[in-house]
Amino acid sequence: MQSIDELAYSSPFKDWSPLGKFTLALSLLVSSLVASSIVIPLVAFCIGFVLLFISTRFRFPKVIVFALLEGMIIFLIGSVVIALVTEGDPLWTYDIGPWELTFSNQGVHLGTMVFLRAVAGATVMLFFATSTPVPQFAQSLRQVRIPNELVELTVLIYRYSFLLLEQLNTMYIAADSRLGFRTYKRKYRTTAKIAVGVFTRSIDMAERSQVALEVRSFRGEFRSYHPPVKISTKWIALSLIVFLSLYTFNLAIVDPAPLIQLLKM
Amino acid sequence: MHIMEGFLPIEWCIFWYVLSAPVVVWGFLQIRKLFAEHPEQKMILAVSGAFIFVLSSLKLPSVTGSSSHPTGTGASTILYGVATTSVLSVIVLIFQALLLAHGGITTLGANTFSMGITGPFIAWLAYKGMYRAKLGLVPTVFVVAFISDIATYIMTAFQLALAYPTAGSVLTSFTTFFGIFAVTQIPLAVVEGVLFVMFFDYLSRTRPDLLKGKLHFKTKTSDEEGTAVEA
Repeated sequence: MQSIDELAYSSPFKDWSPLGKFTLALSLLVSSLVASSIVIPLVAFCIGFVLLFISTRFRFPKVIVFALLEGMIIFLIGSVVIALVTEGDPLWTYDIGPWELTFSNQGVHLGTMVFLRAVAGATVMLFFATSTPVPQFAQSLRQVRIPNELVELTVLIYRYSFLLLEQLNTMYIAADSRLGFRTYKRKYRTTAKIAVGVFTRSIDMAERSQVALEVRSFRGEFRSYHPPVKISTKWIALSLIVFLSLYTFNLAIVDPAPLIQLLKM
Repeated sequence: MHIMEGFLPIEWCIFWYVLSAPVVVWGFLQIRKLFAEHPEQKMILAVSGAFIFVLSSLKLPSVTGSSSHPTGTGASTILYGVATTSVLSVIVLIFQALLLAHGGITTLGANTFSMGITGPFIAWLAYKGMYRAKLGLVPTVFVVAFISDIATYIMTAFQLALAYPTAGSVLTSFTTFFGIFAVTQIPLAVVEGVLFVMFFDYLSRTRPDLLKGKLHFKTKTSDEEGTAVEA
């Protein structure tokens, strides 16, 4: 989590409009979801991958590799289950003890499609995450009239998460050095103790923060000194062009006849 | 486990967004009212949200050999109620999608409905029933945490079954999805129940003021040493 945050702050795309990047990412995700050809998720994956690669300054940190690999395992299990539950013309049948697993043609196609959509989605989201610090994204939400209370709650939760994680790590190391995770029973007991420790400290921290803010004349609203760049019409146009191009490309692959007719008119 | 990016067709993504929106808006209005009446609660609520997020990074060993993490919504339901939990869940789910590549933005509506609305709502019903029946801290917390976890996974399996029915039958598909989830999720729900019983037990001893009027438990005060007192 901390590594992705560090990457976001050092990304060459950091100063681009957060909402602009979000709209572009969303257009890639939606294009991939509405497509019926597996080529479109592949194209979305390639675009996402290139953007992610540039965003991480042409290196592939371990955190990204682990996030993608962990995601792939989950995607694979999910896609196999979707392939199994989809009925159709039988393609492969496996006997596993009392069960018989049958994969249909349609099921394998749908499973592959879902897997590719998920991989494309993860890559595109990682591009967005590694190029946009969360506080910047939250502040930019004010531009689309998201209420202040929600924006501030998001920024505060984000800030406190790092403080709590630091405390959690300290407690974890302290417990580990006292053999607190030696047996299963101890593991659960120590985890519960750490959770309570973090919770009670977090309540104390909240109370102290409130006092600190009040003595600095806090009026119930946090203002950003450098507000993030606003979304421009260029970003909206780019996102629309990307979506329409991929949509048309999908139509051309799946059923080119209506498209050819339209072009002839 | 959340529904990952790309796993739901676009029409289902929109459907779950639309279904979750009213509850989240209601939750937001509750929070706005709370902040207007008690501005000091802003920090406490923010830290609680951060706590839920950090808690979800605590890895727990699972019987299948893999590790999993608690959702924390059962505890949040007892402490803050369903509406507030739904808003905190949305924020936590966005962080999980962006910072941990877990869940997704197109599936945010579906994940909010399962983890932030269904789980907490069913857990809240169980909590209210058990609180009125004056049951103690251990059974109440265990059942609430267990139910909140299981209800979340039942809803997730149902959402996937609706999107991918087997030969038109949602029920058959649901049985398959839930059967696969059950292998890891039922033991995990039990583990989460046990973990939260320990959590609330320690909390009742260290900060009983935070649980006053929310759970029935016995505590020892310094002037009544040795005497059990109902808080």
